[in-house]
Amino acid sequence: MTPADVFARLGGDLVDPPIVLPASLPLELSGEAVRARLCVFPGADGEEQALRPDLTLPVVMDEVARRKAGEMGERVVRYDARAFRLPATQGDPLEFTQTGFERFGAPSDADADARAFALVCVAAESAGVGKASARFGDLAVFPAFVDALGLANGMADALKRAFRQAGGVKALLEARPREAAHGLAARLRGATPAEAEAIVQDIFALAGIQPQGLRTLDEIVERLLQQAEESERGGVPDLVRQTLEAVMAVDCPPDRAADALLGIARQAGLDGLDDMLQRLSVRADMMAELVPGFVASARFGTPFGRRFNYYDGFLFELFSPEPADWMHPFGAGGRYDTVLSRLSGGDVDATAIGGVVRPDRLALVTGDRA
Amino acid sequence: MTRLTIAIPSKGRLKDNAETWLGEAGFKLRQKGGDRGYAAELKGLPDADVLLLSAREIAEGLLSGAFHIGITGEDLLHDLSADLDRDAHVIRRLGFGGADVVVAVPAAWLDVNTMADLEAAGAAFRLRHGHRMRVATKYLRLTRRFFASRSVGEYRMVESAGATEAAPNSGTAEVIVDITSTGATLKANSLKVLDDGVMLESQAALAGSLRADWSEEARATLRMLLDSVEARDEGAGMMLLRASSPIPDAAIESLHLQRAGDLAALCESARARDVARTLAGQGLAPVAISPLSFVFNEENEAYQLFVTKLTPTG
Repeated sequence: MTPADVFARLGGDLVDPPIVLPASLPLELSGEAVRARLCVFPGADGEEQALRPDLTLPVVMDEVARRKAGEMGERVVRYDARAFRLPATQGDPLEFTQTGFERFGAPSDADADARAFALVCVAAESAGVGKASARFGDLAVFPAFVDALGLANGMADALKRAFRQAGGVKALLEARPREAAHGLAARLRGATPAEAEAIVQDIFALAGIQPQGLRTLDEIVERLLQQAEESERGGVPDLVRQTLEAVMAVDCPPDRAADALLGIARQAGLDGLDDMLQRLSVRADMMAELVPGFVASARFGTPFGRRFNYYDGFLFELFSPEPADWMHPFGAGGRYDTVLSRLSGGDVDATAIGGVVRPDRLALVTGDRA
Repeated sequence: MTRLTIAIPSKGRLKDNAETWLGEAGFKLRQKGGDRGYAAELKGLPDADVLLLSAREIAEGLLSGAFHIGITGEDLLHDLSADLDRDAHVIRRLGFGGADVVVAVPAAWLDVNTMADLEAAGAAFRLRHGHRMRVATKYLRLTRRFFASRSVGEYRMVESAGATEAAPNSGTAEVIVDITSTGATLKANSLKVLDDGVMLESQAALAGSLRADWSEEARATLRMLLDSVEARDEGAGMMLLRASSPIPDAAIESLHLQRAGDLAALCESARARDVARTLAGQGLAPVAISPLSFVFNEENEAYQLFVTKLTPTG
């Protein structure tokens, strides 16, 4: 039994998609943070090309194309193929195999989350690694709290984006109150978009400024009016700051995460978080039942995995317990229900979850034990 | 590579300034085959091999260890190296070629004055246009690091080889990261620098490679070069005072002078005339002041620091 055999139980197709893809695909999806790891080269037409940094991206692109062509329903895609990343630490291979699966269009619930995790654990087991230190995150938790806090749109969106940047939330929560209201924005307070646009156009004419590029006058006016609104509201209320700081600080065994978050929600008097908390708690119980050896020493952290840009829900990584090596997970996976929609400009919508093991790292773990 | 190899900019103002700087330290650059030749030597430093290269090639060579020392821009060293502490060390900043690497946006963006504004504008831009806001630059690493440190993720980089400031006008990018000394080019292209958008204050530097193979001979030649450089700097700020009878220790101490023999002492240029008058008034007249080209000391801090960096710790 190999990991590939374990994933084959899911059925579906075994694929080996194109190795080369336009560099703009991963860069648009995940941002410039991934460029440091991306094998990029100029193509014949001058456009930047990249070697696939993982199998998920080309598999998802293919899935988007299929669904655009009318294929619906549930589908599983499996792979056992090479991926390419520039080494982050010395000795990392540039080229390695990922054995894994992606599952599209299945119900998105605690059951599906837990089973995806368990399958990756069983795959690791088939390669001789019977336990792990698992790290869990859920990238839906922080946005759910932001929504429950009922903040104004501009601030809520800014916080959700800041969540994805190292240190971003802390900087935003602390910086806002001290930030002086920008002069022009403050003067536009209460203006209608048409009035504001007329004022901005006057300024352009007086200062001899020409608008340039794709960003239009109304985008500028829209942001100015948002800033006017924000300056009126002032900084983040203390309750919001304390609540979000507490949410970010949750770091505990997975079966205690729901309780810890529930406590924070009650303290702040927040409603509307029950479904999210319920899913967290059911999932933790199921995982402990399905693969106890992989959950015994596991931790859940709210910020965990937030910089893996395409995940948007449950996610996990599996590490060797000894010697502990937090840089090199041998298994990983997670949910990315919004990605197909984002990549297709909203044309396609399907849930998605996937998981992989790295055979080379599994071999290192078993080799160390021998 | 046992002899010291030094790389010097091959053209432009950087070359002229580097040549002047070396000349003032007593090393005259002589190009073989006239002004356009790329082989050269430094008169006064016969044990060094001289290469004439572009500033970018010099930065690359320092980082890879292709040669020992070179004169290039700090902007290039910081951008081309993933870990500058590991690859190269700035031995001296040279005081010329000063320019800032900055983030600039169209002047029409009245709503964007800070990096935080840019972050919000980038997010709205992506929703509106279906792709990320583009940042044109040749500084890929510097830009990525700076934007990440300011929590700005909503952008894409577009590599620009030249005329970066024209990118917003030509529509190939919305934002630029570029180097500017006066800001005039940015203004001419209707761009403004963000309030907190200065990424790096760069100038020309003499840098040493930490990856090159440093023989005893190469170190000795570097020491010789740096001794002259230091001596020239030391000399430039000092005057020699020469009295007609021995200067007493009490006067040396109270006037904060450096003794240079019985009759002479070194003094900072700014105080030299006052001190000379004082000494003259104490019966040591006549007291003469003369400028100094070089003052050599026993220690050389810049050299010592560099050698410490060369020795791997731990």
